[in-house]
Amino acid sequence: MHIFGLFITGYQVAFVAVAGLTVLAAVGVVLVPNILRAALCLGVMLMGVAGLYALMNAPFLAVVQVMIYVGAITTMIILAVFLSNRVMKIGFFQAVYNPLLAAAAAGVMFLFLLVTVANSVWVQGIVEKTPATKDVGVQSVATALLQPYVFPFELASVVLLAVLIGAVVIAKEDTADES
Amino acid sequence: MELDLLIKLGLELGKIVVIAIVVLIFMMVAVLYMVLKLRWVIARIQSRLGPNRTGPWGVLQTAADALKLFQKEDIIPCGADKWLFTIAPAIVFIPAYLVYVVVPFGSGLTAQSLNVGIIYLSAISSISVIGIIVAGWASNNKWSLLGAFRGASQLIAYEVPTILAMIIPVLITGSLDLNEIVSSQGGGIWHWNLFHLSGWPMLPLAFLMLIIAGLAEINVAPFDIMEAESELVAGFNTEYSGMKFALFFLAEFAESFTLSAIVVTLFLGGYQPPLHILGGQLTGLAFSAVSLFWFMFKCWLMVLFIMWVRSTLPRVRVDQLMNLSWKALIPAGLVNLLLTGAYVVFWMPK
Repeated sequence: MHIFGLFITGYQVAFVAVAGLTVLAAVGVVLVPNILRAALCLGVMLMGVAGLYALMNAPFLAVVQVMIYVGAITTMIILAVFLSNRVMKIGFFQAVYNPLLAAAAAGVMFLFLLVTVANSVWVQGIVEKTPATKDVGVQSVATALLQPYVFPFELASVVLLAVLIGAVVIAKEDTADES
Repeated sequence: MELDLLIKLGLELGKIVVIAIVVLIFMMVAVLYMVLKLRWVIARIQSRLGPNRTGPWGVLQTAADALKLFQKEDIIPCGADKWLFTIAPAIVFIPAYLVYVVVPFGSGLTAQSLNVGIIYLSAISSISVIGIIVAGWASNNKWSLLGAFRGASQLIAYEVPTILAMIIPVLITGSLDLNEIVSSQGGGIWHWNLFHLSGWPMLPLAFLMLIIAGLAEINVAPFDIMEAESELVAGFNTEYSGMKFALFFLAEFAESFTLSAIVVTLFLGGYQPPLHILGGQLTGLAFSAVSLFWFMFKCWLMVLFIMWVRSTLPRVRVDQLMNLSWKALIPAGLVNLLLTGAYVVFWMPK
């Protein structure tokens, strides 16, 4: 339909709404003083990202995003907050000790991302103002992971294994200290 | 041209709203009856009479209870975090409602068939744990906080074995779409995944794992340590009353129907009739109706089974619960996954 002389599709409206919600929640994560509320904002933000995946016709990525990031990671963060009782009792203050340095670091990161995004091939889909027509199914994800990208995929799992073993080692040392 | 588009959009939205309302009404009615049935079943098992005063045989008992809940004062404790305390029941209830979107109630009776249906189910139901944690923390009550803490560790521990068990029939079928998993089990009881013994003998192990882990995921006895009334008053929902408590209650029973629906869909043939002559020869709308009946029938048997378990087994301790998941279910699930993967790649008849 036409609004203010611009041609706007329903898809664009939905995209802007979900993206706006995601950005708002992300701002909330940084600015909300209460740490549990900030964690909840993080949950909403991650749901927003899942919504964006769904809008881009990647349903598998969207549900996996919800399962891993919203269901597991956010819960883990909240559990960690529970364990650190001190943080929970005192109103958590998200201080910025050096605003100039923080702004500079964020600016560099933003520029880096902007350059990467602008130079990528997949920017074409956005230019055409339509969702990707081909449904990115489970099988194409599996083929991509296990054929051209099998090395980085396996490398990621080795890193995760190292983290797991590290966690076990740290936990073991703690029990040894108690006894 | 523009008007046409708007009318189409309106019709589409109207369809979505109607489906949402039908699912919601189904959920309410099912929960009302399940609560009544649970009280009857537990009473029978404990040699009591159970509710039998309100209406004929006591059938109006839960309706009366629900009415009482609506009239109750909505209390927010003065030490509580008002915002989080208010949204927590919604965070628990909404996922419990959203999972009904992909459940194949009958042939052609799915609100929205997704090609990632089974992952959608487990992803959406994993959200509700956040609501439980938030409810426990926002209440500012030590029983609530303890219950929430237990709940978080329990739900994280049991999500992995649930998914490991659900993957097995997915591997055998080769599809994540619930409708395809059901249609692959058509043709009689010996084609159902659980009884398909000429196929792959590890499926019953996955079935058992799904039931055990699923009971822990939906937080009913013997795994109800986050509510444990003899230890924690009522756990994470101790401070809740009125409508907010009703939402927790509704979500809990809705989840136990969802578990039944998942087990029936993955292992017990979904909406397929047990014998071909019991409705398999029908087509179109007639088959939809018959398949709806079979799905509901199997789900009610599963719901009765859950009630039987929860009224007979004693509650486990926290450490036993953790050991069961991390030391027994997850290793068994991983071995089963490996064996099933090898079977699918090397031996399964194509």
